[in-house]
Amino acid sequence: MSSSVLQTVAQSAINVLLVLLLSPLLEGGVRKLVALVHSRIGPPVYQPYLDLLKLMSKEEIVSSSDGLFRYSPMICLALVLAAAVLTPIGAAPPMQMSGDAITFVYLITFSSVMIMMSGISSASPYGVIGSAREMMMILMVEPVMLIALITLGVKSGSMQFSDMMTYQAGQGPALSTVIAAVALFLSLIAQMARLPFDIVEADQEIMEGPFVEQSGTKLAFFKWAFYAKELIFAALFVSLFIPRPVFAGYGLNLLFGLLKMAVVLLLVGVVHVVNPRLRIDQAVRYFGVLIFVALIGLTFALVGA
Amino acid sequence: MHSTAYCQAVEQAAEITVPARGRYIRTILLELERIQSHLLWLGIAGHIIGFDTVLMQAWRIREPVMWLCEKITGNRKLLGMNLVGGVRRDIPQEIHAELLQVLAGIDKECKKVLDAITTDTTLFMRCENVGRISAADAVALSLLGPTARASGIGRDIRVDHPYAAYAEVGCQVIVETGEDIWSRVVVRMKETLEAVRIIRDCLALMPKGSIMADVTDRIPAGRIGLSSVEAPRGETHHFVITGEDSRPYRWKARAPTFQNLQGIPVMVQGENIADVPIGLGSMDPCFSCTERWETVDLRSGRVRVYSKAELQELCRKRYSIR
Repeated sequence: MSSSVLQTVAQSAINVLLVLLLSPLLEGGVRKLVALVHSRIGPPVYQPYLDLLKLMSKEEIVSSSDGLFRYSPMICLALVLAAAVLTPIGAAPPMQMSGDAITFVYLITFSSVMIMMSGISSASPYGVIGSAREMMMILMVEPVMLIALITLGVKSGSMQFSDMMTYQAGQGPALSTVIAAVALFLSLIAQMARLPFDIVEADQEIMEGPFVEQSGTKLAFFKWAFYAKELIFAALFVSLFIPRPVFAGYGLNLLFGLLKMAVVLLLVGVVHVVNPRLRIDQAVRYFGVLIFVALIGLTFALVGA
Repeated sequence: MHSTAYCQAVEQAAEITVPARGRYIRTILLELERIQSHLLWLGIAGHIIGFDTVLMQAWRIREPVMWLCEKITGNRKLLGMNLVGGVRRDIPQEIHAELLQVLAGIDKECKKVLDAITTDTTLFMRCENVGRISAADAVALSLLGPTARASGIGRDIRVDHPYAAYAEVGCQVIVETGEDIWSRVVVRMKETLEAVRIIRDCLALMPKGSIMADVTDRIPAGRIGLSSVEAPRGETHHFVITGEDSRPYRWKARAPTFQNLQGIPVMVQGENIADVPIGLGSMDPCFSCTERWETVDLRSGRVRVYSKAELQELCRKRYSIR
């Protein structure tokens, strides 16, 4: 085995482990922030780890013999971890290929589809309603992310994350990339299933929707996939739109990257805590406007602004 | 609140006059209950639409009211203050200053909350023009309390049939004409501020003297008493027929929720699923108040009403109590 392959494998493993092991900590931090605004003490920062452990030790109650119901949580987590390998966390992503940005969007969308499938196959009306909502959200949110990435692609002349990062670090902000950054940030709130866009779960309306029948380890996998997604999206946003300062060593870059990611997640947490949940039609209208804004950004990029 | 209604009904039946100070103390406690009930509701309504910040902050503001109730009566809830003929404990002069201080805090924080939620566009989007009940429907379905007042129906027992000390301190009926959930939010918040005003006036105007009437005689049998109280959720009626040995012969209480629930079909017709929980929540339902049952034989359509003895027997059989 050549040393470059070994290096890729090692870096991929680092990324996957980072995402798996660190994401509950970031989630715990956001919970602390939410508690602070609520005037509560809040759970300890390591509570999400305990939640996962607790869920994994619980008996699983299976409501449906459907294979999708059984395997969708594992596939969902696997897809998110596959996306983690393509994600630049503090450094260039471990796996690089032309068009890896497109692959990333595919993997993330597919993980959302798995959530949808879990709901549809759960034999619960709440799950089906949640899945219908998830589908609408996918249809409206993914285009925003894709358009923002294409805008960067047009500017940097490549649909590869590492090229985009190099371009952004070298060039600094332009009008089109700023618009793309805003659009991406606003769509991230929905990707992370944070208020005002946690419409899919909406525990007071449809009792966690697609997850209503999931329990035990399977539910833990879904939760973990959600925590992982939060970290991945924060990392993506930070790497693509706040690339500076760039340091020489991997360790320093990673440390600084994590700090910036924490700031992004705190911002998402602030939005989460000062908003009620939108209705699905209101969210669709909101993202309709956001798609339009993202397209304007893309147009600017095409004319060179 | 129910105990006030019951005591008033018995007092009416037995022709007992409650001393003025007793009536003022009842008014203060009723309004304290309104404040905590409306703040509790605000929190739950916020929680229903996913706005847990409102839940936590509203309940934080509510907490001093509960402490105050405990200070005055010994209990946070179910104050146990009413007796036929008056109230059990006085509100001594020494704690007036503390009462006023807590009231000032609530007043300030409620205004802040009102300010914060009226400028919150997302909240407004979720509540405006949702769960509409027109004024005509509200009258036709006999809706009560804040639910009716948010549809422009100015019904309020405190003004229409004054009891306790409401005739002396007055009460402003808060009416909004939006006919939607938003109006119900605004009505309740404004009523909270009005309740603070009423308590302050009560404390200022409260005459000295006895808090209990001299109830030494037996309450005569066969008399009828009917009393109405404006509870936080709407009007509550208690009907009493007195019996032998100062015991009630017949007693019927009507809480407002059953009446208000009749508005739900109108409210949720054609609405989104997401609007149903907040629509139901917007009338502050108390489901334990609506429990009643009868058995219907589906084939013959015959309705059977169980007697007390039969119910007891059923219950014993069910839980194998011998």
